[in-house]
Amino acid sequence: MRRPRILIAICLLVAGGLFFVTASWPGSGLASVKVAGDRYSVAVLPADPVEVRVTSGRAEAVTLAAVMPSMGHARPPVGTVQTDVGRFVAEEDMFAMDGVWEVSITLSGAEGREVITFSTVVSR
Amino acid sequence: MKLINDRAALLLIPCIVALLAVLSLAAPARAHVVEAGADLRVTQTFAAGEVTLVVAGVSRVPAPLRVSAQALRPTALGLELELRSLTDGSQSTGSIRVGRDPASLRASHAGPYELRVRAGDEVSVIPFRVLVPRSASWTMVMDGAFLLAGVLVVGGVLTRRMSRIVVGSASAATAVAVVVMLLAPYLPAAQPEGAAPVAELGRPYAQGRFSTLPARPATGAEFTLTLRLADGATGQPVDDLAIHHEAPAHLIVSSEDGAVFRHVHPLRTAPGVLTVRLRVPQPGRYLAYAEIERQKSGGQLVSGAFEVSGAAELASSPGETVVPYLTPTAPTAGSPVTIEITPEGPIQTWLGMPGHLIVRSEDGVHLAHAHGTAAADSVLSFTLTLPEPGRYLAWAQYAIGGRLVTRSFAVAVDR
Ligand SMILES: [Cu+2]
Repeated sequence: MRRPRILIAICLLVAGGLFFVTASWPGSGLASVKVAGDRYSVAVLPADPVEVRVTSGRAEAVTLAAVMPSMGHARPPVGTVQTDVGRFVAEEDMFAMDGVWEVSITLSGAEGREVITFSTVVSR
Repeated sequence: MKLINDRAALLLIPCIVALLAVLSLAAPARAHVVEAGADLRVTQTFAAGEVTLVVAGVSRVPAPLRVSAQALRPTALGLELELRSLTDGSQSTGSIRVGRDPASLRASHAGPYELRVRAGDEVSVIPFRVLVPRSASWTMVMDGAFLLAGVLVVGGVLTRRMSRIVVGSASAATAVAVVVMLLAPYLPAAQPEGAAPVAELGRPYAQGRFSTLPARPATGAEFTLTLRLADGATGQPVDDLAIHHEAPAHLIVSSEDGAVFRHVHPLRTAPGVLTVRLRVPQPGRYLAYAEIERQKSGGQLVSGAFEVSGAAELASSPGETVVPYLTPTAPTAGSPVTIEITPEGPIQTWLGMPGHLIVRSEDGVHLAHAHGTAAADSVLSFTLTLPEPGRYLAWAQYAIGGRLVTRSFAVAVDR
């Protein structure tokens, strides 16, 4: 009978697959994060180069700053270029390593100035 | 025979691919501040009185989010509430009175929210997350495999066609289910929907800077005490305070001589900014200690001092005192001492505990906040170790009949 061997092979495959998945747990991927402030709302693609889409409010300038709270890392602020109406792309890479980052988005424009902050998992 | 086994193996490949695909959709490890299905209780000291806001937990979204206010002492204090989603900016408002019916705000999705609480001209902004339980993807795989095995067996029995393919597939599905079940203790549990991404590491210490407005408060006049918290590594405002013992921060203010004592719960007015309005009857130097806890970190104490000018208020009462029962009667430095106090009636819990004991060394260098246990006949018992010989000022706090009682005493540690 080959069946027991096949079953053992199946079990090993499933076990291997599960351990592989558990060991290299993937990050949140490239889903955009929606964040709402008092004056502006944005949808952010939290991977280098960071892209900010302003979904409410008329922002004219956007700067970004990233901090890794658990490591005590702060990265220098990064400017953005407006590639389309309300679409801002970071001029430089921001995430120096994988982990949980806190990103502050400073928006200024018709509605005034506002800083919106959110956390994200970076895994590359 | 070989053909059938190959078919069974072929059937399994899509099975495993689907399993891997489903597992890879799961969220990474996360932590949170607010438990799903559990109430969030946040105590805040407004000038008009101290209230505990209770945000009732929800198990699904969208759902009405019920917010009510409690207080030890019944007051007519009214609060204006505004709930704002930090994901899409949607808002809902309501108003509540302390001890009355909750307001029904609206949580349309899981994730971060901000609750603005207005009492008179004071506003506190309380950040929190709505978390909704979610089952782990591997449990779905296991359930699915069991279901498939069941369907195949039942279908085979009903159609009287227990072909080898049916038996093989059912065995395969059962094998998958059993393997997942056996591996369950090693697989990650599902994170609730809406949880914040938090690294397992702790956070740097916070630095606190106390200031008053006006810069030199006068006795008998209301002033604002502000604590600004900055991250010890990056210098950025610390805005990740966990609610511990029902408040984001516990602030102990005492006059240097210990005659004036306040235990209050400041309002978060901006990221990293905590404020509370106070009024004190005596001039002189005051010591302030804030107990805070950053997310994924332990508790910490930040301290500071400020000066109050003016004349002592004549009507200022000396405060209630108590003579506690100490074991041993002559405490020594570095050894535990048990302090027992007999309250004048049945005690209610305050900040989730039957009793609180705050002990300050006379020079202000040491501060301890112990929690008591209510032993037989509601005797409150606290055990703590005082580090060095000297005189310690202590305040025991407990609630009786809708009143917060603070009783002071001193402990001498001779050697
Ligand atoms: Cu407290």
